[in-house]
Amino acid sequence: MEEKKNFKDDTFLSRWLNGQLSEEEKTAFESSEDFLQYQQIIRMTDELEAPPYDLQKAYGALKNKRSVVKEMKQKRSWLSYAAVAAGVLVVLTAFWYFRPAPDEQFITQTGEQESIQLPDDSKVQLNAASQFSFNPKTWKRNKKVELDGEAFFSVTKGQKFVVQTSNGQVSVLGTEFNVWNRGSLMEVTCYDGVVEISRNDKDLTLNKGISAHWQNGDWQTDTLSSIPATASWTQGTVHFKATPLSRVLQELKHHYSIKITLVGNPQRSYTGGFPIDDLEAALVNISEPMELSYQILNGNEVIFREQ
Amino acid sequence: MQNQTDQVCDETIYQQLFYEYAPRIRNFLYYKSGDLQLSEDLTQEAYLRLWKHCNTVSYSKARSFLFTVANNLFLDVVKHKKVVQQFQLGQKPKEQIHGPDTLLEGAEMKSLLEKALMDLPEKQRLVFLLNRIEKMTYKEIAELLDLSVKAVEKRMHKALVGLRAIVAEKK
Repeated sequence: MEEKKNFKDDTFLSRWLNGQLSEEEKTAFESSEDFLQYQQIIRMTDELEAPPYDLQKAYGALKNKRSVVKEMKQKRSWLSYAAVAAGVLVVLTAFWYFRPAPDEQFITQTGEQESIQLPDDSKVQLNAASQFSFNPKTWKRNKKVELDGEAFFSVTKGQKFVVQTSNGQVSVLGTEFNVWNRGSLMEVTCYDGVVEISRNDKDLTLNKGISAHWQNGDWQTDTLSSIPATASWTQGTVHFKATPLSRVLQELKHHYSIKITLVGNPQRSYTGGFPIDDLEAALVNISEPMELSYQILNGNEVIFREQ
Repeated sequence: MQNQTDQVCDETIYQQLFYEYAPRIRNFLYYKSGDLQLSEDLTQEAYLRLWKHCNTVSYSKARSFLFTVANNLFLDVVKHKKVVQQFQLGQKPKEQIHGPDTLLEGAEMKSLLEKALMDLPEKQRLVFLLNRIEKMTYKEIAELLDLSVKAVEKRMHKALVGLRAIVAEKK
């Protein structure tokens, strides 16, 4: 093989490209006969790029195709539904017989908020489209609550208090903090006292005025420029700092019963806020700084477009 | 508790996944096949499958789900027909590089290079283009293809040796 003859090992050119050759190796290679050709090939390929790809068009085509597939799927026979229904009935019956001691559960729908008072006088403000539960029977020895969505906590000083989410755990001893947990994302902000958070064995202590979110496998912290008394959403406005547009629109949907379509890049970063009780104002507050236009169809379908 | 996998079923999250990974998947398939239409069709199919399984694929697994499905779809196609390879890569606007007379000039060299890429074994071509065009490190490529870094370096070396030999011969 020609390559064996010319190079001392079979990763030589890889190391050359990565700048990992020794000075000696490099000098020898650069004076070799073929060096200029190798260099030219690399120069030339580094100028190449993949053919253009119209993402907007491709996404539109994907959506069309998706609805066609869905229609075909819906043409199932009634028998398959009956089978599923029978299965569900069996499972439900089993659950009924073996149900554990009931948790006290609170669920808010889109646009709703709820104030909850816990047995130890701690207060919880539950944001829209969220779920919250705790077990009153075991409360005295185990102050643990479960949350999915967003809530602001005002915890009475005393025993250890734990918030469990699908993504991680927050432990405190009397303090004020906000927990946001949606999908695989989680963010905790400490407004007073000290909060301990943990996820995948990564623990972090947050002091007053510090916020942490989970990204790239670890906690990333952020210092609030000023420390308000409470999370802004409990006062009727949702604020964002350099947040991907997709998350902002996601949050918007928790406060208003609307469908959203975005024609454009969902990863652009948004800083600003919107009110939770005035849809028009909210749409303007989001679209203006992002240079988007919006349109409302059928009363509840909002389309954002890049201008 | 709401299941965290629900997220992929959400239109805005799904759309974000498309904008983030569709170009990489499409290019990945293109570097393998040299067939642009096929690459875009298979990318679309991979996303249709993601939508179908959005209840069971979690957000953090979506990327590897997409690459795996796209790769399997591609292998299926290759099994049934020989893929036609015709590379037509774009060129970034840049002034021509004038080398010594023994070297070829821009346009000629580009088409020669495209032909040479076409002749390269698929595995070498994929690694080479992921590194040079997608700017992925050897480590990232190794993770994507489930190879050791050493194996990636070997393919990279072979690809370059092969390219030079083909270019020299065609010239």
